[in-house]
Amino acid sequence: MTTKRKRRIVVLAVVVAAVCLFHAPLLRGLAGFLIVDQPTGDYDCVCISPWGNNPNGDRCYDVAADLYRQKPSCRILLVAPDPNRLEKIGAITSFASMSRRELFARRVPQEAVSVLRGQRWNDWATVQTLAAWMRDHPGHSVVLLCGQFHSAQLRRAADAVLEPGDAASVRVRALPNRDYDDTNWWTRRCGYRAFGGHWLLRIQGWLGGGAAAQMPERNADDYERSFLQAFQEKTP
Amino acid sequence: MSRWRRLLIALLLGAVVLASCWAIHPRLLRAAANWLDVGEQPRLAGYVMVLNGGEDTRPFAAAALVKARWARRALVAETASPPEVIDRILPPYHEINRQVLLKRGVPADDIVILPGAAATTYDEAVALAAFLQDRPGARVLVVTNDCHTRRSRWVFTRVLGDRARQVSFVSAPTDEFSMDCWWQSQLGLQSIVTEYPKLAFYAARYGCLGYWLAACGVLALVAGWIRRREAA
Repeated sequence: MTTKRKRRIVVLAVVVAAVCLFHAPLLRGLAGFLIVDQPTGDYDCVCISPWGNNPNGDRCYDVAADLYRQKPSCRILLVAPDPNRLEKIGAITSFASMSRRELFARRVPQEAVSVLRGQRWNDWATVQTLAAWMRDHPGHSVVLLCGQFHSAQLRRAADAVLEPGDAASVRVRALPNRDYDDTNWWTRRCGYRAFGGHWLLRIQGWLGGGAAAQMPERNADDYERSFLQAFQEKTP
Repeated sequence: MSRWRRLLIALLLGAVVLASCWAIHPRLLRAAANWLDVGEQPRLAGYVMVLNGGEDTRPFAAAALVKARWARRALVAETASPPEVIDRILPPYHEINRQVLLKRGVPADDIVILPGAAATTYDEAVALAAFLQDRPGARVLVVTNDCHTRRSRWVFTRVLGDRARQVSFVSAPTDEFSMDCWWQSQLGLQSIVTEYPKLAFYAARYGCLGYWLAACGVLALVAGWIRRREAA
């Protein structure tokens, strides 16, 4: 074996050993790119938004209720999308009703909650809804709650959509999931799924994508009809 | 040929390949999405199984199949509970599917919940295998989203073995993003791109990909050793 080859093998072994030894800080560092957690500072609104049918951020209602108790003059803003098929047929409760119920159960009065209508499944749409509200209600500072790995992406959307003054008055609070966070995501299946998924969104954001509007959803009858029509209505 | 010249040619080739890919990237990306869809025409069956996830599409498609008499009864696998279900903020996913089937006109008696705590497509295939154990002649339509059909078919075939012939896959179309520009939408990106690593993971975890990779590694080592001996 030549000296050059030996040297290459030693370097490779050292790199592999270093990666094994320092895998935790390396993986924590990778997750760090997904996280922006800003101090709440002097806030007067707390904003909760959906991610799919779920609230964005584990235990976001607990955190919102805590923030409300710390400052009872603040408002809770719900970015509630237009009802989807599931909500329209009554299979699930709407995000607004569900959030109101959960906040009320945590002793947040209904008068402190405002609903802002927005789009589903899109950070840009969430922030655009918030931007419209902030234009009508200038001078407010908002704490935007979201999942920990979602926070950098939402911050980026806020910086891209909001006016610079409004963007500075929106602070993103990153809520770790109870099953995983940036210190242990690689040990759990749901952790590495969330890590991978949010890295994809991050890359898409860097490449300038992701802001495309969601297509209008068909109602249940139209969906079923077009689904069957795809099989040329070969009814048995 | 000198080392630098070889490097230059490789760089040029790489640049040409990258430029070509960029020029036809919409076509490539569309093809990448279409490759995942292996849904078939439905055939007459006793059961239609709704895979969990995609609650805004899959159970609607399953209900349509039952109402159009492609299938008589609907199957839903019981699911494991994520945090929002544990906190009772949302009902379990199988319960959402059951509710949609009920609201869309499938009688309660015709909805069968397969017991277990399915967290993955693999778990759902195991639940169906248990259900089919004493129903050797039963035919099942499995309904899932278009981009999920290839992985589902792969894992169901793996788990069911010979009984996989009893099962066929029907695509429930996603209507929240267009397959023609899925890469521009957050949901589209998450649905399509994550399917590829999931397919690779399933192939390694439940299939023979790991063995194939190990065999290729051993072959590469042997080839390197032979080449070195010849050079010496």
